[in-house]
Formats: sequence, C-alpha cells, structure tokens
Amino acid sequence: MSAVAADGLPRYGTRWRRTGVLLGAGLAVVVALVALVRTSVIASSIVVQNASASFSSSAIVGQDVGLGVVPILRSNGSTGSVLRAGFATVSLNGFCLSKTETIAGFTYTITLSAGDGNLATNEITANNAVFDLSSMRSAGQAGQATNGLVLQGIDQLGLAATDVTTTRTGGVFDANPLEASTSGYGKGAFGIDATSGSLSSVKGTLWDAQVNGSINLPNLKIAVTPGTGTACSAAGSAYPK
Amino acid sequence: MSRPVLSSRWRQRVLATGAALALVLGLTSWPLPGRVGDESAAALPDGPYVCGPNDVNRRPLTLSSGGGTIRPCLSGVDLQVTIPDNTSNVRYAINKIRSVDTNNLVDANGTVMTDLVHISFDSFVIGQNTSGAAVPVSGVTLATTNGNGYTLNLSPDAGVTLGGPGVTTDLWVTEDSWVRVNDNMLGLGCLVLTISGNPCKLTVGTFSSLSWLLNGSSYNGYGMELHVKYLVTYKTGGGVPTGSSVQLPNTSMAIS
Repeated sequence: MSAVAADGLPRYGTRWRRTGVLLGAGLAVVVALVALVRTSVIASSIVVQNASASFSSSAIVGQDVGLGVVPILRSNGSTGSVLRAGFATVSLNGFCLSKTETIAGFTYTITLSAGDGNLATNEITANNAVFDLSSMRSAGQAGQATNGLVLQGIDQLGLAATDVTTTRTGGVFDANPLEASTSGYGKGAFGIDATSGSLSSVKGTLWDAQVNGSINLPNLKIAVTPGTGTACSAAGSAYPK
Repeated sequence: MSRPVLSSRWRQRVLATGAALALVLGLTSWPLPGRVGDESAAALPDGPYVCGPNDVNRRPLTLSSGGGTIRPCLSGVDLQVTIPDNTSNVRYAINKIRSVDTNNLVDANGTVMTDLVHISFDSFVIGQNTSGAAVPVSGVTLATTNGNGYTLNLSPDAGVTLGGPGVTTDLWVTEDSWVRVNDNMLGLGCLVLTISGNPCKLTVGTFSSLSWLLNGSSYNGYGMELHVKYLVTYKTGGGVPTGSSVQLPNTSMAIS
C-alpha cells in the first residue's frame, strides 16, 4: 500500500479504485449467493458431522415420501444406522435445529430457526429434502384427528430401502433417491414408501438434513449462545414444549 | 516530514482484506455444475433401481381386492406388529380377514422366503371395536427383528390404522403369525376346530382351513402378532385411497 511520491517520501493511502473493484466484485458475489438461496435457486444442506442435533417442527407435510434405514459413516469414524426420510416436495410449519458444540473448553449452542409463527400455514417449502433421523416423537395437539405419523395413498412397508421412490426426472422416478446401501441389492435395509405423508408436532434428533433442490426459509434466524442453550422450539408453535 | 494518512492504515487493511475475503468466499461457494447440494451424495444411476441381476428379484405379487399386480423389491426384514394379547378386552376391529394364498417370495438379494401366507384385511383399525366405538389400547409396537445391524422401533401410544375404512391391507406374513379374534360364527368355529379358547387365537398357518369363516364380516380383535415381510394398502376394489391409509398417532421412533 505504499509507493514513492514526487517528493521522494513513501506515499500511504488506499488504492480506492483497486480496492473498490475487489470489494465490489466480492460483495456482488456474496449478495448474489444470498439472493439465490433466498429465492430458492441454490440448494442448501446442513450436515451434522459427529454428533446429532435436535430439531422440531409443528408439521412436516410431503409428497412422494420415502423412509429407509441407511448406514452412515460419521466424520469421527464411527458408524451407525439412521432412518432417512426423503420427500420429493415438502412443506413445514416452522423449523428449528439446535446443536451444542464444545471447542477448547467453551460450550456454545448454534440454533437455526425459520417460520412465520402461524400454526395455520406451512410456510417453509423445499424440494428433494432428506432428513437422517435417529429418534423422533410425532404427536399432535388435542383434538387433532390426523396427528402423529400419517401416510396416504398406496403405502408399502417392507421394501428394500433402495426401492423407495421420491423424486422424479422427466416424470420417471429416480432410482434409489435415499442413496441407501446397494450391498446385496438392498437386502436387510427396511423401507417404507407412500404417495404422501405427514408428521405433526415432531421433534427429535437428526444427523443430517439436506435439501438438494430449492428451499424457501422465511424469517431465517441463526443464533449462537453460550452454554447448552434452550430447547428447540418451532417458531410460533405450541409444540414442542 | 510524514503524511497524516498513516492513521487510517488499519482501516485500509481491513477494507482490502475484507474485500479479498468476500471475493474468495463467494467464488469458492459458487455452485459448480454437478456439485449442487451434493455434499454427501453419490452419483445416482440413470435408470430405476435394479433389484437383483436383471431385476430378477422383483417378483410380481397379485393383490387380493382388485389392486392389480405389484412388483416390489423386498428387504427381507421382519416387521413385527404386536398388539399385546388378552382374552377379555377388545383392542381392534377388522371387517374381513381373507386368506389369499401361500407364496414363496424372494428378497432383494434372491434369498427365498418360504411359506409366507398372503392375507388381507378390510378396514383394519386398532383402538376401535366393530361398532366404531373407541377402546383403550396400549403397548402396540412395530419393530424390525432382523435388520442388517439395526433395530427400528415405532411405538404409537394410541389407536393405529393400517388400512382403515375403504382400504384393503394385503400382507405377506410368516405362518407362525397369529391373531386373536371373536364373533359368533368364529366362536362356533373355535369350538368345532378345538382351537385354543374363545376368542380364538388363530395362527395364520390355519387360515386356509378357516377361510369359509374368516371371509365373514366384522371381527373384534383382542391381540395380534404378525411377522410382516411386506404390507401394502390400496383402495378396496383397486386404486389409490383418498384419505390416510396408515396412521400412527402419538408415535415415538428410535433406531439403534
């Protein structure tokens, strides 16, 4: 940032033109990225590396739903199985994800939440969404006739997880959309397939959430708080308590 | 002689560094073709999933009530559906129980599963009696018993629907599966066939000899243990049910 001026002394100052070009280009790319995410063009994913995170939503409603047991390899080398829930299209009534980490003896909690706080609307929408669940509880508010886990249409239980269908390309179902293990052509990996389905008042733990298509997350908030944080609660939801 | 602009050097550095960082972060985050949202995804095959060499393990199954033929690729995993047994309290209702036939099926890897009994239920609802009145039920579980290194448990704590009104549920179960049911005709059948008690505890393997009774209507159920290899719900007479076919209210899921 220095040069020699006409008087022979070093010259200090900002090369505003050069910096401006750099800053402008960088900011333009960042703004474009944010805009693309917010306008559902770029896919988003949340990957939990070596420990599960808690999640909750007042409702998850999907079309072309598949559930299958899938083995996972975590970043710390440990293995396990999860119930992978895939949706060709999905809408959610509020969503919250909370993960506690400890680095150098300092414990903090990252909480991601989105939603409009209105229990009557499923305002979060996504295509090709996948959740890797290790446990969950799906209940409902009093008087709800269709609470819990509900599958609609032609439902199949006992399929190989590889044979579950969710997304389509050109009108044809994609093969193995859950990316289940193909060992033994999928033998031993239990799968459930449904035309559509829903989970109401759901909370639990997950290892991974991915949206490989577009996503719309209104009122997205990300908070980092010291300590183990508070329980994940979907925006405006009466549940989870 | 010095210039006063030296006092803003830190601000300049921060600005320049920030600009460079923003550009680098933005460019490295830009989605390149083929890696959009694909962090843990493997490449997908181009066509539908193949079940065994040349899809040979995808065998046709004919559904019982106008549902046509379906060609599932089966996991071979047992899903044990349990309603704790008792002889005095109704736990579920079924309009019809049909014994269709006995099949040898194959799983995805070609292992033969012998003597599976193909049965079907009409309007199977747990937590109701045949009059449609709610009845208390607890301890209902759906759990895998021979998964590949895992156990999946689904534990609903209220009435479960596996089919429901206007829906037929076809199941392929092992022949040691059983149901305990009762109605007037079947009570007589229990007496004639000296099957254990009334309400009758019937193993699925005996269904074929009781088909003349079981095809009647409206059975109250008291207990059940089904080892299900495959279950499918569809609109009675064929087609896609308009409502919910499977309901697991207030349900906990765990995989271990």
